[in-house]
Amino acid sequence: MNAQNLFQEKYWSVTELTRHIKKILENDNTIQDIWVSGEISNIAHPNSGHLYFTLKDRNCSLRCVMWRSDVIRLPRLPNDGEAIDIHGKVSVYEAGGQYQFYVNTIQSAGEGELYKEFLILKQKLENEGLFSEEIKQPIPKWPHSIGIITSPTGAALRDIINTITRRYPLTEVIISPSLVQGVEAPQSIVDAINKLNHLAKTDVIIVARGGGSIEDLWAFNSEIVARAIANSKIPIICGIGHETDFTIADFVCDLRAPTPTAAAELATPNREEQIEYLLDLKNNLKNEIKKIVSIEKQSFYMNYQRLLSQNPLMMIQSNSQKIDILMQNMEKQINHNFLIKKTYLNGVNQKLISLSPEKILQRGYTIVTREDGQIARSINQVTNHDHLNIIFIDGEAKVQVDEIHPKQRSNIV
Amino acid sequence: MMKNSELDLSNIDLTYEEALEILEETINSLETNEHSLDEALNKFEQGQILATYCLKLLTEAELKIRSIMEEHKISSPEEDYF
Repeated sequence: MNAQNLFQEKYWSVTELTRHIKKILENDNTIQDIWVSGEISNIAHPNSGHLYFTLKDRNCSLRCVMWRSDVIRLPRLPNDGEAIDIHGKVSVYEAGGQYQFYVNTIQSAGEGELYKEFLILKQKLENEGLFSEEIKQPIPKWPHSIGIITSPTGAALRDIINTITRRYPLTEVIISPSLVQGVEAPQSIVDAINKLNHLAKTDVIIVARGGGSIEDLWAFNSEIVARAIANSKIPIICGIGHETDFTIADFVCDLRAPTPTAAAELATPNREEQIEYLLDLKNNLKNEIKKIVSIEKQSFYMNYQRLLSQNPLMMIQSNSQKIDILMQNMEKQINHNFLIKKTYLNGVNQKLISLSPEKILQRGYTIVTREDGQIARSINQVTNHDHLNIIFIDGEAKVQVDEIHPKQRSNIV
Repeated sequence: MMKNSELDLSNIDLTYEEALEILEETINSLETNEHSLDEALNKFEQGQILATYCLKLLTEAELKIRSIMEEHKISSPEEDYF
Protein backbone atom coordinates (compact mmCIF):
# COMPACT_ATOMS: atom_id res chain seq x y z
CA MET A 1 0.00 0.00 0.00
CA ASN A 2 1.63 3.34 -1.13
CA ALA A 3 1.00 6.77 0.34
CA GLN A 4 -1.14 7.86 -2.65
CA ASN A 5 -3.67 5.09 -2.01
CA LEU A 6 -4.01 6.13 1.63
CA PHE A 7 -5.42 9.52 0.60
CA GLN A 8 -7.83 8.06 -2.05
CA GLU A 9 -9.27 5.46 0.35
CA LYS A 10 -13.06 6.06 0.90
CA TYR A 11 -14.50 5.51 4.32
CA TRP A 12 -18.04 4.27 3.89
CA SER A 13 -20.64 4.80 6.55
CA VAL A 14 -22.72 1.80 7.45
CA THR A 15 -25.77 3.48 5.99
CA GLU A 16 -23.98 4.26 2.73
CA LEU A 17 -22.83 0.67 2.38
CA THR A 18 -26.17 -0.77 3.32
CA ARG A 19 -28.01 1.47 0.89
CA HIS A 20 -25.51 0.61 -1.81
CA ILE A 21 -26.10 -3.09 -1.32
CA LYS A 22 -29.85 -2.51 -1.32
CA LYS A 23 -29.62 -0.60 -4.57
CA ILE A 24 -27.63 -3.36 -6.20
CA LEU A 25 -30.17 -5.96 -5.21
CA GLU A 26 -33.21 -3.86 -6.14
CA ASN A 27 -31.78 -3.03 -9.51
CA ASP A 28 -31.29 -6.66 -10.39
CA ASN A 29 -34.46 -7.46 -12.27
CA THR A 30 -33.86 -11.19 -12.27
CA ILE A 31 -34.65 -11.38 -8.59
CA GLN A 32 -37.45 -8.81 -8.32
CA ASP A 33 -40.42 -10.98 -9.45
CA ILE A 34 -39.68 -14.62 -8.74
CA TRP A 35 -40.95 -17.84 -7.25
CA VAL A 36 -38.78 -19.60 -4.69
CA SER A 37 -39.26 -23.15 -3.41
CA GLY A 38 -38.18 -24.44 -0.04
CA GLU A 39 -39.19 -25.65 3.36
CA ILE A 40 -40.67 -23.24 5.83
CA SER A 41 -39.53 -22.94 9.43
CA ASN A 42 -39.33 -20.50 12.33
CA ILE A 43 -42.73 -19.07 11.67
CA ALA A 44 -43.65 -15.95 13.66
CA HIS A 45 -47.05 -14.30 13.38
CA PRO A 46 -47.13 -11.44 15.91
CA ASN A 47 -50.07 -9.13 16.65
CA SER A 48 -49.07 -6.76 13.89
CA GLY A 49 -50.43 -9.41 11.51
CA HIS A 50 -47.22 -9.60 9.52
CA LEU A 51 -45.67 -13.01 8.95
CA TYR A 52 -41.99 -13.72 9.49
CA PHE A 53 -40.32 -17.03 8.61
CA THR A 54 -37.28 -18.71 7.20
CA LEU A 55 -37.32 -20.61 3.92
CA LYS A 56 -34.59 -23.12 3.59
CA ASP A 57 -33.25 -26.05 1.65
CA ARG A 58 -30.38 -28.40 2.44
CA ASN A 59 -27.65 -25.82 2.11
CA CYS A 60 -29.02 -22.33 2.59
CA SER A 61 -31.73 -20.34 4.28
CA LEU A 62 -33.58 -17.18 3.38
CA ARG A 63 -35.22 -14.72 5.76
CA CYS A 64 -38.77 -13.89 4.61
CA VAL A 65 -41.41 -11.37 5.56
CA MET A 66 -45.02 -11.12 4.37
CA TRP A 67 -47.06 -8.02 5.13
CA ARG A 68 -50.44 -8.35 6.81
CA SER A 69 -52.34 -7.11 3.74
CA ASP A 70 -51.05 -10.14 1.82
CA VAL A 71 -51.23 -12.55 4.75
CA ILE A 72 -54.98 -12.12 5.23
CA ARG A 73 -55.61 -13.23 1.66
CA LEU A 74 -54.16 -16.68 2.36
CA PRO A 75 -56.71 -19.49 2.82
CA ARG A 76 -54.59 -20.82 5.64
CA LEU A 77 -51.18 -20.30 7.24
CA PRO A 78 -48.45 -22.75 6.24
CA ASN A 79 -47.31 -25.30 8.77
CA ASP A 80 -43.81 -25.63 10.10
CA GLY A 81 -41.70 -27.88 7.90
CA GLU A 82 -44.14 -27.69 4.97
CA ALA A 83 -42.76 -27.54 1.46
CA ILE A 84 -43.96 -24.31 -0.07
CA ASP A 85 -43.47 -21.98 -3.02
CA ILE A 86 -43.28 -18.25 -2.31
CA HIS A 87 -43.53 -15.35 -4.71
CA GLY A 88 -42.03 -11.90 -4.23
CA LYS A 89 -38.81 -9.91 -4.44
CA VAL A 90 -35.46 -9.48 -2.76
CA SER A 91 -34.50 -6.41 -0.82
CA VAL A 92 -32.65 -5.29 2.32
CA TYR A 93 -33.88 -4.67 5.85
CA GLU A 94 -31.60 -1.74 6.55
CA ALA A 95 -31.90 -1.55 10.29
CA GLY A 96 -31.03 -5.21 10.69
CA GLY A 97 -28.47 -5.34 7.95
CA GLN A 98 -30.33 -8.22 6.52
CA TYR A 99 -31.26 -9.12 2.98
CA GLN A 100 -34.80 -10.44 2.97
CA PHE A 101 -37.34 -11.92 0.66
CA TYR A 102 -40.55 -9.87 0.64
CA VAL A 103 -43.37 -12.39 0.02
CA ASN A 104 -46.68 -11.47 -1.59
CA THR A 105 -48.16 -14.95 -1.96
CA ILE A 106 -47.62 -18.51 -0.75
CA GLN A 107 -48.62 -21.80 -2.35
CA SER A 108 -48.14 -25.40 -1.33
CA ALA A 109 -45.25 -26.92 -3.18
CA GLY A 110 -46.20 -28.05 -6.62
CA GLU A 111 -49.45 -26.14 -6.48
CA GLY A 112 -48.17 -23.66 -8.97
CA GLU A 113 -47.41 -26.36 -11.49
CA LEU A 114 -50.75 -28.00 -10.91
CA TYR A 115 -52.56 -24.74 -11.39
CA LYS A 116 -50.80 -24.15 -14.69
CA GLU A 117 -51.79 -27.60 -15.90
CA PHE A 118 -55.37 -26.86 -14.86
CA LEU A 119 -55.45 -23.65 -16.87
CA ILE A 120 -54.02 -25.28 -19.97
CA LEU A 121 -56.50 -28.14 -19.93
CA LYS A 122 -59.38 -25.80 -19.15
CA GLN A 123 -58.53 -23.64 -22.16
CA LYS A 124 -58.16 -26.66 -24.42
CA LEU A 125 -61.53 -28.13 -23.46
CA GLU A 126 -63.22 -24.75 -23.61
CA ASN A 127 -61.92 -24.29 -27.15
CA GLU A 128 -63.40 -27.66 -28.07
CA GLY A 129 -66.77 -26.40 -26.87
CA LEU A 130 -67.11 -28.82 -23.97
CA PHE A 131 -68.23 -26.06 -21.58
CA SER A 132 -70.75 -24.55 -24.00
CA GLU A 133 -74.29 -23.91 -22.68
CA GLU A 134 -75.77 -25.46 -25.81
CA ILE A 135 -74.58 -28.96 -25.05
CA LYS A 136 -75.75 -28.89 -21.45
CA GLN A 137 -78.72 -31.16 -20.87
CA PRO A 138 -81.73 -30.08 -18.83
CA ILE A 139 -82.23 -31.72 -15.44
CA PRO A 140 -85.53 -33.66 -15.22
CA LYS A 141 -88.04 -32.22 -12.80
CA TRP A 142 -89.49 -35.53 -11.57
CA PRO A 143 -86.67 -38.08 -11.52
CA HIS A 144 -87.72 -41.71 -11.21
CA SER A 145 -84.17 -42.89 -10.62
CA ILE A 146 -81.07 -40.97 -9.50
CA GLY A 147 -77.52 -42.26 -9.98
CA ILE A 148 -74.83 -41.29 -7.48
CA ILE A 149 -71.11 -41.47 -8.21
CA THR A 150 -69.03 -40.95 -5.11
CA SER A 151 -67.00 -42.74 -2.49
CA PRO A 152 -69.16 -45.40 -0.79
CA THR A 153 -67.56 -44.57 2.55
CA GLY A 154 -67.53 -40.80 2.43
CA ALA A 155 -69.77 -38.27 4.18
CA ALA A 156 -70.89 -36.93 0.80
CA LEU A 157 -72.95 -40.07 0.12
CA ARG A 158 -74.65 -39.89 3.52
CA ASP A 159 -75.51 -36.24 3.00
CA ILE A 160 -76.93 -36.88 -0.46
CA ILE A 161 -79.04 -39.84 0.65
CA ASN A 162 -80.40 -37.86 3.62
CA THR A 163 -81.27 -34.95 1.40
CA ILE A 164 -83.07 -37.09 -1.17
CA THR A 165 -84.93 -38.98 1.56
CA ARG A 166 -86.10 -35.73 3.05
CA ARG A 167 -87.10 -34.08 -0.21
CA TYR A 168 -88.32 -36.78 -2.59
CA PRO A 169 -88.40 -40.37 -1.37
CA LEU A 170 -90.65 -41.31 -4.31
CA THR A 171 -87.55 -41.77 -6.40
CA GLU A 172 -84.95 -44.51 -6.28
CA VAL A 173 -81.23 -44.12 -5.88
CA ILE A 174 -78.61 -46.24 -7.66
CA ILE A 175 -75.09 -45.93 -6.31
CA SER A 176 -72.20 -46.38 -8.69
CA PRO A 177 -69.23 -46.21 -6.33
CA SER A 178 -65.85 -44.83 -7.32
CA LEU A 179 -62.56 -43.60 -5.93
CA VAL A 180 -62.56 -39.86 -5.51
CA GLN A 181 -58.86 -39.10 -5.11
CA GLY A 182 -55.54 -40.58 -5.99
CA VAL A 183 -54.02 -41.62 -9.29
CA GLU A 184 -56.59 -44.34 -9.96
CA ALA A 185 -59.51 -42.04 -9.28
CA PRO A 186 -60.01 -40.56 -12.76
CA GLN A 187 -60.43 -43.97 -14.41
CA SER A 188 -62.64 -45.13 -11.57
CA ILE A 189 -64.91 -42.13 -12.04
CA VAL A 190 -65.02 -42.67 -15.81
CA ASP A 191 -65.98 -46.34 -15.29
CA ALA A 192 -68.72 -45.35 -12.88
CA ILE A 193 -70.18 -42.89 -15.40
CA ASN A 194 -70.06 -45.49 -18.16
CA LYS A 195 -71.76 -48.14 -16.00
CA LEU A 196 -74.69 -45.85 -15.29
CA ASN A 197 -74.97 -44.83 -18.92
CA HIS A 198 -74.96 -48.47 -19.94
CA LEU A 199 -77.59 -49.37 -17.38
CA ALA A 200 -79.69 -46.54 -18.86
CA LYS A 201 -82.13 -46.54 -15.95
CA THR A 202 -81.33 -43.31 -14.10
CA ASP A 203 -82.78 -39.97 -15.21
CA VAL A 204 -79.94 -37.98 -13.70
CA ILE A 205 -76.51 -38.57 -12.18
CA ILE A 206 -74.87 -36.82 -9.23
CA VAL A 207 -71.07 -36.82 -9.14
CA ALA A 208 -69.96 -35.81 -5.68
CA ARG A 209 -67.02 -35.47 -3.35
CA GLY A 210 -66.55 -33.75 -0.04
CA GLY A 211 -64.15 -30.86 0.52
CA GLY A 212 -60.37 -31.14 0.29
CA SER A 213 -57.20 -29.56 -0.92
CA ILE A 214 -56.48 -28.92 -4.55
CA GLU A 215 -54.54 -32.17 -4.74
CA ASP A 216 -57.45 -34.06 -3.17
CA LEU A 217 -59.84 -32.74 -5.81
CA TRP A 218 -57.36 -33.21 -8.60
CA ALA A 219 -59.07 -36.23 -10.10
CA PHE A 220 -61.96 -34.01 -11.15
CA ASN A 221 -59.58 -31.90 -13.21
CA SER A 222 -58.53 -34.84 -15.34
CA GLU A 223 -59.19 -34.87 -19.05
CA ILE A 224 -60.73 -38.33 -19.20
CA VAL A 225 -63.23 -37.44 -16.49
CA ALA A 226 -64.13 -34.21 -18.31
CA ARG A 227 -64.76 -36.10 -21.55
CA ALA A 228 -66.76 -38.81 -19.84
CA ILE A 229 -69.00 -36.16 -18.30
CA ALA A 230 -69.41 -34.35 -21.60
CA ASN A 231 -70.26 -37.58 -23.43
CA SER A 232 -72.71 -38.86 -20.83
CA LYS A 233 -76.18 -39.33 -22.29
CA ILE A 234 -77.63 -38.89 -18.82
CA PRO A 235 -77.45 -35.36 -17.41
CA ILE A 236 -74.86 -34.91 -14.66
CA ILE A 237 -74.99 -32.64 -11.62
CA CYS A 238 -71.62 -31.98 -9.97
CA GLY A 239 -71.24 -31.37 -6.26
CA ILE A 240 -67.53 -31.29 -5.60
CA GLY A 241 -65.74 -29.87 -2.60
CA HIS A 242 -66.77 -26.54 -1.16
CA GLU A 243 -68.57 -23.53 -2.55
CA THR A 244 -65.39 -21.87 -3.80
CA ASP A 245 -63.78 -24.92 -5.38
CA PHE A 246 -64.02 -25.01 -9.15
CA THR A 247 -62.71 -28.06 -10.95
CA ILE A 248 -62.92 -28.80 -14.67
CA ALA A 249 -65.77 -31.19 -13.92
CA ASP A 250 -67.71 -28.17 -12.61
CA PHE A 251 -67.38 -26.43 -15.97
CA VAL A 252 -68.25 -29.38 -18.15
CA CYS A 253 -71.16 -30.84 -16.18
CA ASP A 254 -74.78 -30.06 -17.01
CA LEU A 255 -75.40 -28.32 -13.70
CA ARG A 256 -72.94 -27.30 -11.01
CA ALA A 257 -73.78 -27.43 -7.32
CA PRO A 258 -71.57 -25.86 -4.65
CA THR A 259 -71.73 -28.95 -2.40
CA PRO A 260 -72.94 -32.58 -2.50
CA THR A 261 -76.04 -31.65 -0.48
CA ALA A 262 -76.84 -28.82 -2.88
CA ALA A 263 -76.45 -31.28 -5.76
CA ALA A 264 -79.08 -33.53 -4.20
CA GLU A 265 -81.37 -30.51 -3.79
CA LEU A 266 -80.98 -29.56 -7.45
CA ALA A 267 -81.81 -33.10 -8.50
CA THR A 268 -85.09 -33.32 -6.59
CA PRO A 269 -88.33 -31.45 -6.05
CA ASN A 270 -89.10 -30.43 -2.51
CA ARG A 271 -91.64 -32.67 -0.85
CA GLU A 272 -92.73 -30.04 1.67
CA GLU A 273 -93.47 -27.57 -1.09
CA GLN A 274 -95.30 -30.21 -3.09
CA ILE A 275 -97.52 -31.11 -0.14
CA GLU A 276 -98.44 -27.46 0.38
CA TYR A 277 -99.13 -27.12 -3.33
CA LEU A 278 -101.37 -30.18 -3.34
CA LEU A 279 -103.36 -28.91 -0.37
CA ASP A 280 -103.77 -25.65 -2.24
CA LEU A 281 -105.02 -27.51 -5.29
CA LYS A 282 -107.51 -29.39 -3.16
CA ASN A 283 -108.83 -26.05 -1.93
CA ASN A 284 -109.02 -24.74 -5.46
CA LEU A 285 -111.06 -27.78 -6.44
CA LYS A 286 -113.50 -27.16 -3.61
CA ASN A 287 -113.85 -23.49 -4.46
CA GLU A 288 -114.41 -24.15 -8.11
CA ILE A 289 -117.09 -26.73 -7.53
CA LYS A 290 -118.79 -24.46 -4.98
CA LYS A 291 -118.88 -21.68 -7.55
CA ILE A 292 -120.32 -23.96 -10.18
CA VAL A 293 -123.00 -25.34 -7.85
CA SER A 294 -123.92 -21.85 -6.75
CA ILE A 295 -124.33 -20.67 -10.33
CA GLU A 296 -126.47 -23.71 -11.10
CA LYS A 297 -128.67 -22.98 -8.08
CA GLN A 298 -129.24 -19.39 -9.13
CA SER A 299 -130.01 -20.43 -12.67
CA PHE A 300 -132.42 -23.07 -11.40
CA TYR A 301 -134.32 -20.66 -9.16
CA MET A 302 -134.67 -18.16 -11.94
CA ASN A 303 -136.20 -20.81 -14.14
CA TYR A 304 -138.39 -22.04 -11.33
CA GLN A 305 -139.78 -18.56 -10.79
CA ARG A 306 -140.53 -18.26 -14.45
CA LEU A 307 -142.30 -21.59 -14.35
CA LEU A 308 -144.39 -20.57 -11.39
CA SER A 309 -145.41 -17.38 -13.07
CA GLN A 310 -146.77 -19.42 -15.99
CA ASN A 311 -149.08 -21.42 -13.65
CA PRO A 312 -152.46 -22.02 -15.46
CA LEU A 313 -154.33 -21.67 -12.20
CA MET A 314 -153.07 -18.17 -11.89
CA MET A 315 -154.13 -17.41 -15.40
CA ILE A 316 -157.57 -18.76 -14.71
CA GLN A 317 -157.88 -16.72 -11.56
CA SER A 318 -156.77 -13.54 -13.22
CA ASN A 319 -159.05 -14.11 -16.17
CA SER A 320 -161.91 -14.94 -13.89
CA GLN A 321 -161.41 -11.65 -12.17
CA LYS A 322 -161.40 -9.95 -15.53
CA ILE A 323 -164.65 -11.59 -16.35
CA ASP A 324 -166.22 -10.39 -13.11
CA ILE A 325 -165.20 -6.88 -13.87
CA LEU A 326 -166.46 -7.11 -17.41
CA MET A 327 -169.76 -8.44 -16.24
CA GLN A 328 -170.14 -5.68 -13.74
CA ASN A 329 -169.46 -3.18 -16.44
CA MET A 330 -171.87 -4.85 -18.73
CA GLU A 331 -174.63 -4.74 -16.13
CA LYS A 332 -174.02 -1.13 -15.51
CA GLN A 333 -174.09 -0.42 -19.19
CA ILE A 334 -177.27 -2.42 -19.74
CA ASN A 335 -178.96 -0.72 -16.83
CA HIS A 336 -177.90 2.59 -18.13
CA ASN A 337 -179.16 1.85 -21.62
CA PHE A 338 -182.38 0.53 -20.23
CA LEU A 339 -182.89 3.64 -18.19
CA ILE A 340 -182.35 5.82 -21.21
CA LYS A 341 -184.74 3.83 -23.33
CA LYS A 342 -187.30 3.76 -20.56
CA THR A 343 -187.11 7.48 -20.17
CA TYR A 344 -187.43 7.94 -23.88
CA LEU A 345 -190.31 5.55 -24.00
CA ASN A 346 -192.03 7.42 -21.21
CA GLY A 347 -191.63 10.60 -23.15
CA VAL A 348 -192.99 9.09 -26.25
CA ASN A 349 -195.77 7.58 -24.29
CA GLN A 350 -196.75 10.91 -22.86
CA LYS A 351 -196.76 12.39 -26.30
CA LEU A 352 -198.77 9.56 -27.54
CA ILE A 353 -201.25 9.90 -24.81
CA SER A 354 -201.54 13.57 -25.44
CA LEU A 355 -202.10 12.88 -29.08
CA SER A 356 -204.57 10.08 -28.49
CA PRO A 357 -208.07 10.41 -29.91
CA GLU A 358 -209.50 9.90 -26.42
CA LYS A 359 -208.12 13.18 -25.33
CA ILE A 360 -209.60 14.81 -28.38
CA LEU A 361 -212.96 13.13 -27.73
CA GLN A 362 -212.76 14.25 -24.10
CA ARG A 363 -212.58 17.80 -25.34
CA GLY A 364 -215.93 17.31 -27.12
CA TYR A 365 -214.81 16.47 -30.54
CA THR A 366 -216.17 13.42 -32.34
CA ILE A 367 -214.89 11.07 -34.91
CA VAL A 368 -217.06 10.48 -37.96
CA THR A 369 -216.66 7.26 -39.95
CA ARG A 370 -218.39 6.09 -43.15
CA GLU A 371 -220.08 2.87 -43.63
CA ASP A 372 -216.88 1.29 -44.99
CA GLY A 373 -215.14 2.18 -41.77
CA GLN A 374 -213.05 4.99 -43.17
CA ILE A 375 -212.83 8.18 -41.14
CA ALA A 376 -214.55 11.12 -42.87
CA ARG A 377 -212.18 14.02 -42.63
CA SER A 378 -213.61 16.07 -45.37
CA ILE A 379 -217.11 17.02 -46.62
CA ASN A 380 -216.09 15.67 -49.92
CA GLN A 381 -215.96 12.18 -48.47
CA VAL A 382 -219.65 12.49 -47.65
CA THR A 383 -222.63 12.30 -49.97
CA ASN A 384 -226.25 12.81 -49.29
CA HIS A 385 -228.14 9.97 -47.67
CA ASP A 386 -224.87 8.27 -46.53
CA HIS A 387 -225.04 6.32 -43.35
CA LEU A 388 -222.42 7.64 -40.99
CA ASN A 389 -221.10 6.61 -37.59
CA ILE A 390 -220.42 9.25 -34.96
CA ILE A 391 -218.04 8.19 -32.16
CA PHE A 392 -218.42 10.11 -28.89
CA ILE A 393 -216.17 9.75 -25.82
CA ASP A 394 -218.91 7.76 -24.29
CA GLY A 395 -220.56 5.94 -27.19
CA GLU A 396 -221.52 5.85 -30.84
CA ALA A 397 -224.56 7.06 -32.93
CA LYS A 398 -225.56 5.91 -36.40
CA VAL A 399 -226.94 8.82 -38.54
CA GLN A 400 -227.98 9.56 -42.06
CA VAL A 401 -227.00 12.67 -44.02
CA ASP A 402 -229.84 15.00 -44.82
CA GLU A 403 -228.00 17.84 -46.50
CA ILE A 404 -224.46 18.71 -47.49
CA HIS A 405 -223.02 22.22 -47.33
CA PRO A 406 -219.33 22.49 -48.37
CA LYS A 407 -217.52 25.60 -47.18
CA GLN A 408 -216.51 28.22 -49.73
CA ARG A 409 -212.73 28.21 -50.28
CA SER A 410 -212.40 31.89 -49.91
CA ASN A 411 -213.95 31.63 -46.48
CA ILE A 412 -211.25 29.32 -45.24
CA VAL A 413 -208.66 31.52 -43.65
CA MET B 1 -110.94 -39.17 -18.98
CA MET B 2 -111.07 -41.92 -16.41
CA LYS B 3 -114.26 -43.75 -15.62
CA ASN B 4 -115.45 -43.72 -12.05
CA SER B 5 -114.82 -47.40 -11.69
CA GLU B 6 -111.11 -46.80 -12.20
CA LEU B 7 -110.78 -44.16 -9.55
CA ASP B 8 -109.98 -46.45 -6.68
CA LEU B 9 -106.81 -45.37 -4.88
CA SER B 10 -105.30 -48.81 -4.90
CA ASN B 11 -105.92 -49.17 -8.62
CA ILE B 12 -104.24 -46.07 -9.87
CA ASP B 13 -101.03 -46.78 -11.68
CA LEU B 14 -99.86 -43.29 -12.46
CA THR B 15 -96.55 -41.73 -11.58
CA TYR B 16 -96.64 -38.69 -9.32
CA GLU B 17 -95.87 -36.51 -12.30
CA GLU B 18 -98.69 -37.96 -14.40
CA ALA B 19 -101.26 -37.73 -11.61
CA LEU B 20 -100.26 -34.15 -10.85
CA GLU B 21 -100.62 -33.17 -14.48
CA ILE B 22 -104.12 -34.63 -14.76
CA LEU B 23 -105.08 -32.95 -11.49
CA GLU B 24 -103.96 -29.57 -12.78
CA GLU B 25 -105.82 -30.08 -16.03
CA THR B 26 -108.94 -31.02 -14.09
CA ILE B 27 -108.84 -27.80 -12.12
CA ASN B 28 -108.23 -25.71 -15.23
CA SER B 29 -111.14 -27.42 -16.87
CA LEU B 30 -113.43 -26.62 -13.95
CA GLU B 31 -112.30 -23.02 -14.04
CA THR B 32 -113.35 -22.59 -17.66
CA ASN B 33 -116.75 -23.88 -16.56
CA GLU B 34 -117.96 -25.40 -19.77
CA HIS B 35 -119.46 -28.46 -18.15
CA SER B 36 -122.88 -29.60 -17.22
CA LEU B 37 -123.38 -29.93 -13.49
CA ASP B 38 -123.01 -33.69 -13.71
CA GLU B 39 -119.69 -33.49 -15.52
CA ALA B 40 -118.44 -30.86 -13.10
CA LEU B 41 -119.27 -33.01 -10.10
CA ASN B 42 -117.51 -35.93 -11.73
CA LYS B 43 -114.43 -33.88 -12.41
CA PHE B 44 -114.44 -32.63 -8.83
CA GLU B 45 -114.49 -36.15 -7.49
CA GLN B 46 -111.79 -37.22 -9.89
CA GLY B 47 -109.64 -34.30 -8.80
CA GLN B 48 -110.09 -35.04 -5.11
CA ILE B 49 -109.03 -38.63 -5.66
CA LEU B 50 -105.96 -37.60 -7.62
CA ALA B 51 -104.92 -35.06 -5.01
CA THR B 52 -105.26 -37.63 -2.26
CA TYR B 53 -103.29 -40.10 -4.35
CA CYS B 54 -100.44 -37.63 -4.87
CA LEU B 55 -100.32 -36.79 -1.18
CA LYS B 56 -100.27 -40.47 -0.38
CA LEU B 57 -97.36 -41.07 -2.74
CA LEU B 58 -95.39 -38.26 -1.17
CA THR B 59 -96.02 -39.10 2.45
CA GLU B 60 -95.82 -42.87 2.27
CA ALA B 61 -92.91 -43.28 -0.10
CA GLU B 62 -89.71 -44.86 1.10
CA LEU B 63 -86.50 -44.22 -0.73
CA LYS B 64 -85.19 -47.31 -2.50
CA ILE B 65 -81.43 -47.49 -2.48
CA ARG B 66 -79.54 -49.85 -4.74
CA SER B 67 -76.04 -50.13 -6.00
CA ILE B 68 -74.65 -51.10 -9.34
CA MET B 69 -72.78 -54.39 -9.47
CA GLU B 70 -71.78 -54.79 -13.05
CA GLU B 71 -72.73 -52.81 -16.07
CA HIS B 72 -76.11 -54.48 -16.49
CA LYS B 73 -77.05 -55.44 -13.02
CA ILE B 74 -78.15 -53.58 -9.99
CA SER B 75 -78.53 -54.98 -6.51
CA SER B 76 -81.85 -55.75 -4.99
CA PRO B 77 -82.74 -53.47 -2.09
CA GLU B 78 -81.65 -56.14 0.41
CA GLU B 79 -78.15 -56.24 -0.94
CA ASP B 80 -77.64 -52.52 -0.79
CA TYR B 81 -75.00 -50.62 1.09
CA PHE B 82 -76.91 -49.73 4.18
